[in-house]
Amino acid sequence: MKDVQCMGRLLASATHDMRNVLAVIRESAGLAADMISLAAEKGGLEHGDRLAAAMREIQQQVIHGAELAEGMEYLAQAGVREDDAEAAPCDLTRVTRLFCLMAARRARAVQMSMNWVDGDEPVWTEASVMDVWRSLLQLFDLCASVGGKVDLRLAAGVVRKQEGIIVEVTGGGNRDLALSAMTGSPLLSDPLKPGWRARLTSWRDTGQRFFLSVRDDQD
Amino acid sequence: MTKGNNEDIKILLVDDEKQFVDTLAERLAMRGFSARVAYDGPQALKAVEEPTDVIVLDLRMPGMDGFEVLRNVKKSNPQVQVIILTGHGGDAEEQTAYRMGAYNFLKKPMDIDELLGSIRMAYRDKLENAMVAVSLAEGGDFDAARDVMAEKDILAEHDK
Repeated sequence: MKDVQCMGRLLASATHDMRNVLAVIRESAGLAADMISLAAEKGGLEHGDRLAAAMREIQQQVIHGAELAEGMEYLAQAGVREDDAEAAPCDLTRVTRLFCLMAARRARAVQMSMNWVDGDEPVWTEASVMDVWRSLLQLFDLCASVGGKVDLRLAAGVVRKQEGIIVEVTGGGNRDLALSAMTGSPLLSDPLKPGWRARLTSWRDTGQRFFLSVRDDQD
Repeated sequence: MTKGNNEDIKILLVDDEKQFVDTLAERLAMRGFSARVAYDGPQALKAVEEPTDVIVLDLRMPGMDGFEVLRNVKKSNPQVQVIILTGHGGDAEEQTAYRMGAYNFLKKPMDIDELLGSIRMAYRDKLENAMVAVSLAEGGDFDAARDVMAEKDILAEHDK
């Protein structure tokens, strides 16, 4: 068993447990909220509004935790399937959203923001989930290398019959530096799976948007 | 919280996470639902011998897992609707559950209103299936009536 598969299996198991923990917290907070609501109907409860707000906050945080759990679960599945020749194609819309969620903390540390555009339809690619995530991390590192302070918007899409991720630099103090670094890096250099490369090409010649594709080197 | 006629729906909650399932049952009761609880597969199969409309079923349980419970329920009581509610659910598990006749597949931690919506829809579809089956049986088409109750048409649709 390879390291990544071992990590994938353990992560899947831990994520399952984490979802159960979150479910207990959410239901318990929900029950408390229900009781506060019933008490309010019967004449109120001291600090009832504050308690209700606290319960809502707990539930909101649980929702955020569940989103992170989805990302970890997806990562775990990708790890387990890393060497699977029959691995299903990955949905770039979902992968992009989960990447932004999972890297949000790291992005905040370098004053970067990463937003994603929620597509209605999945965008399927033959590239593996791990290769797409590696490529997105390389893109992230490229922006961090100019000192961070870059706002990115990512959207999965198809351009000239090629599936990929449209990368838009929307703002940030180092926006111009990031654009320059991305323009000078048409091919992200870190290796992916043998034969696969990540390419960053200018999109519609605007100089502000790029197209990140992960494709077979033979193409 | 509105109670309405929710008590008409006979619900069985199956999960080995005792605190979760007990709390969920309490919240359903506050909304006028009557929910029984089972903490493992064998308990669930025993409980389903009593009239049951909708089962909310966990997948990963020690001993008999949720898939085995689902298979047994669909064999013995095909008209019962089963909603999977699990902390462990990849795409493969979801597809397997639907192929085996699950009505819906939800992930923990879920919103209680989403669960309630799914329970109500499952119950409504169960009633509609029963009415169609009665109508077919009255017309003498007993095989078709049995298929409707066993939801064979739904399973075939999922297999396409």
